[in-house]
Formats: sequence, structure tokens, C-alpha cells
Amino acid sequence: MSAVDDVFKALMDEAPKAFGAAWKDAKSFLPTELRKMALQLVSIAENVAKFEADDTQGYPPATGKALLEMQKRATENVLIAVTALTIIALEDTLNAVLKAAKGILGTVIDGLI
Amino acid sequence: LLGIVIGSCAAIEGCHPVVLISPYDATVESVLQGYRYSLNVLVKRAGGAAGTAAGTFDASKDAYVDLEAKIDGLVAQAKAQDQGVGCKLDDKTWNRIKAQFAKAAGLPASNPTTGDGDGYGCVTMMLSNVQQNLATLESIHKDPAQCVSKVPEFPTCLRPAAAQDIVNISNQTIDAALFVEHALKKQETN
Repeated sequence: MSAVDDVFKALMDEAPKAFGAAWKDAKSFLPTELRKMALQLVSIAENVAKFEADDTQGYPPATGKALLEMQKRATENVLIAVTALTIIALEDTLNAVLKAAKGILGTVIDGLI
Repeated sequence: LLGIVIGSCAAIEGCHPVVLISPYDATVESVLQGYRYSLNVLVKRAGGAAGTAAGTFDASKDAYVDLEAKIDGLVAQAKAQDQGVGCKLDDKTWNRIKAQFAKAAGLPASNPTTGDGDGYGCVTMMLSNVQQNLATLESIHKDPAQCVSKVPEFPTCLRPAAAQDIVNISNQTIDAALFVEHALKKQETN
């Protein structure tokens, strides 16, 4: 198994645990993004190793560290996107319920306030 | 669920739509697409010209100023439109997700969010990450120690391998935000 597959597997193993109930919304979008992330992490490690063997190749550790910071933010954006999709789905559900119940609840609320 | 529905109906006469996320904003989508294109052009050109005058940070300064203006404007606009709804995922869940992924990926751990967080919406948070990634890109490009140039008169550069990784990471960061805008657009048209 390649390093990319190893990292991808580690990320995918964590995903359902991390997302809990939201995993069903996340799983259509997340695996592709996690694979990109795995490829990127391996690329960073390889390029730093290349530079250390020959400074005309790859890039120095300082760049690797900066790119990891950038990748961390990219990862955060992917996770926020999944969160946003969950919120959009919830908002749609709530508004569909509201629309369906509008007439009935209007009468109930009038009686309560 | 019933509580939210009743709350939404009780606040003002009649039921009003529940707002949990900022609505679709066509400006964010179009400006962000332009930003993505310009950033790709800048990084690919600089990476391809490493070791020459055209590959230096100074040669790209104007392009960076243009990108900064675009993303700063988008972040400011998104903050103004946030409606105070935040990116509603409780801190405990969000911190757990971030920590587990950081551990699995071997990424540096970020500081846990505490209290009520910054209260910003999902789109603002994502644009903020795009903005910070631009700052990191500039810091790489302007640092001679990260260029290790063999041409003393051109001490700064984006090394080709770094340029390729920067394009991939930046696109993933931007595309996540565009993905959400597309979902919001779809929601609005349904």
C-alpha cells in the first residue's frame, strides 16, 4: 500500500467517528477531498526529503512547515463545507416543516399568546 | 424541532423562514472564481520563472496587492452579511473533529475554540482561511531562505515544487468555499 493510501485510510477511519450523526451528509463530499489531502501531505514530505538530499530539488523544511499550515486551513475549509451542507439541509427541513405546519401552528400560537 | 418551529412562528405574527446560514451571495461566487484564476496564474508563472527576474517576489508585488484587495473585500462583505447566525456547530463537536483529523493527518494541532467562538458564519470562516493562505504564500515567496537561489541578484522565488503544491492546496481551500456557495445557490433556486 502506498503512503497516500495509508494516509487516506487513516483519515477515512477517523471521519465517521469525528462526524457522528453528520457523517451521512459528509460522505458524498469528503472522501474525494480527503484523498487530495493525503496526496498533498505525502507530496510535502517527499519534497522536503528531496531538498535535504539535493538542494536544487524539492523545497526546504521551512516551506514544508508553511505548506502544512496552508493544508491545515484547506482541511478546515473542507470540514466547514461539510458543516455548512449539514446546516443547509437542516434549514431546508425546518422550513419545509414550517411551510407545511403554517396554518395549524398559526392557530395554536394565537391561542397561546 | 418543534421548539424552533414554534419560536419562529411566535416571534412575529405568522411563520418566518428559519435562517441558520447566510444566504447565497452571487458576488462572493464570482469574485472568488476570479481570485482563484488570478492566484493560479501568479503562482504558476512565478514557479515557472524561478531563478529569473520574473520569478521574484518583487515582480509579483502588484498581483499580490490585487489579490489582497479582492479577498479582504470579500471577508469584509461576508462579515457584514453574517446576520449573527454563526457557523452553528457546537465547540465540543468542532474541536473534536479538528483534533481527530489533525492527529490522523499528522497536521499541527490548532487552538481549540472556546466559549461562543467568534460567531462568524461558515462562509466568513472559509474566506478567512483563504485570506490567511495568501499571507502564507507571500511569506514563502519573499523569503530568500526558502528560495535558496543560485542566482544572487534574484534572491526570492517560488520553487517549482512549492508552486505546484501551493496551487493544489489553494484550490482545495477556495473550492470548498465555492462548493458551499453552489449549494446555497441551489437552495435559493429550489
